[in-house]
Amino acid sequence: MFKQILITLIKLLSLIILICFERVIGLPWLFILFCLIWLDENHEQLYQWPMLLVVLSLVLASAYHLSWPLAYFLLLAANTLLWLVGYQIKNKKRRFLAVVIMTNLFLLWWLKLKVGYLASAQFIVSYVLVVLWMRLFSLEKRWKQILKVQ
Amino acid sequence: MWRSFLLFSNRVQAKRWLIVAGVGLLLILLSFAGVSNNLTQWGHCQLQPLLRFNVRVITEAYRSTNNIRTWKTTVRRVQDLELKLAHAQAQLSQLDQLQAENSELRQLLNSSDRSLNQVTITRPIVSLAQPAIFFDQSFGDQSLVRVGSPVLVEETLVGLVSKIDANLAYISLLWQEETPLILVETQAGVQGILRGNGKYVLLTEVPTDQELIIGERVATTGQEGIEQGLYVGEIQSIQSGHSSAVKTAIIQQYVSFYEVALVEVR
Repeated sequence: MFKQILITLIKLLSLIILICFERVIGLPWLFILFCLIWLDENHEQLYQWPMLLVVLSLVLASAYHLSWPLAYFLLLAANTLLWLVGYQIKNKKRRFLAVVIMTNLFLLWWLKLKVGYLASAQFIVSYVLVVLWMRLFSLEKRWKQILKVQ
Repeated sequence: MWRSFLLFSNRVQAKRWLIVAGVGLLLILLSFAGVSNNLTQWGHCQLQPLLRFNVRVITEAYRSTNNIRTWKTTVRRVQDLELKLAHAQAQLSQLDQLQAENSELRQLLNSSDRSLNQVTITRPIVSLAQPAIFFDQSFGDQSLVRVGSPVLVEETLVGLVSKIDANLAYISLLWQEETPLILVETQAGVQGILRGNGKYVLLTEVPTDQELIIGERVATTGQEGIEQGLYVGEIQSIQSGHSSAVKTAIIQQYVSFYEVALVEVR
């Protein structure tokens, strides 16, 4: 239990640091991606999931000067969209990327942000980071399988 | 799909959606009450130090990349500026020369009761091997510049015109050996001959019974082509010994042909 709380706090802290970094540059690409992953991980939890949604939306609203209900419904919509497009896009990675891009496009329109040199650079860097992270994750899984077989 | 979504396939999911909807409703109510705004404001205040730190880091990184991007332009701009500086310095030196010429002209015009018709003011051409002056229509009457004409700097005789070639008049400076002999006299009236030894201007052929005093002023006596009373310099030292038949003194000139912007030819 204590370990779980500690991991949750570390995750939340790292997300706060990430959103502060992304707030300065432009849009919350990685933040929304990690939020969706975290929410997806806790999909089965009845009470924990809405609580997580509330906390993450508060962080998003605080960083981007959004209204809290809007941030809440935005994350909820993104999460629901993830589930709904599951029938169209079978690949989970692509599904996540599509939803993150859509959510960020909505934020771009809502916050009236300008797409400049920094925002474009941020998108490219975030995309490369996500791809690298996914590759490393699959490599780690493969290595674990190999080690298990041995 | 929609059916399963709307009808809530199981009770747990339905319950969860109810909770989510309830929380959403609560947040909207809190927003109307102004509580949620206060909370987000508080959260923003807490994030401020992190945001500020990130701004600093990103600004530094952006500045570095910007410097790299504008490096070529900066180099080109520096080169342009260097060229402009060189041009400006050249113009400045021309202006300095003009200023010096102007001040000397003013001095000549103010400090003399001579008629300018008898004087030609020209620019010296500084050359250790062949000192010369340049003259044309713009420098006044050219006919006044003849072989043997005295050349003065700041009212001090420094040489004679030795040769004329088109618009150039070559000068024999007083310290040069080839300069023609000039008759001079001291303040006390002691007469002698002025000639150069290649290093100094000498007052020679002064009878031993005549008294020369260090610091005495020496001026021309007057001879063909050289008017009387042209200042030459002061006696700096007396060289002749007891056995010598004549006295010789070194004349010190306080002006130099090589250091002025304008000279005068009479």
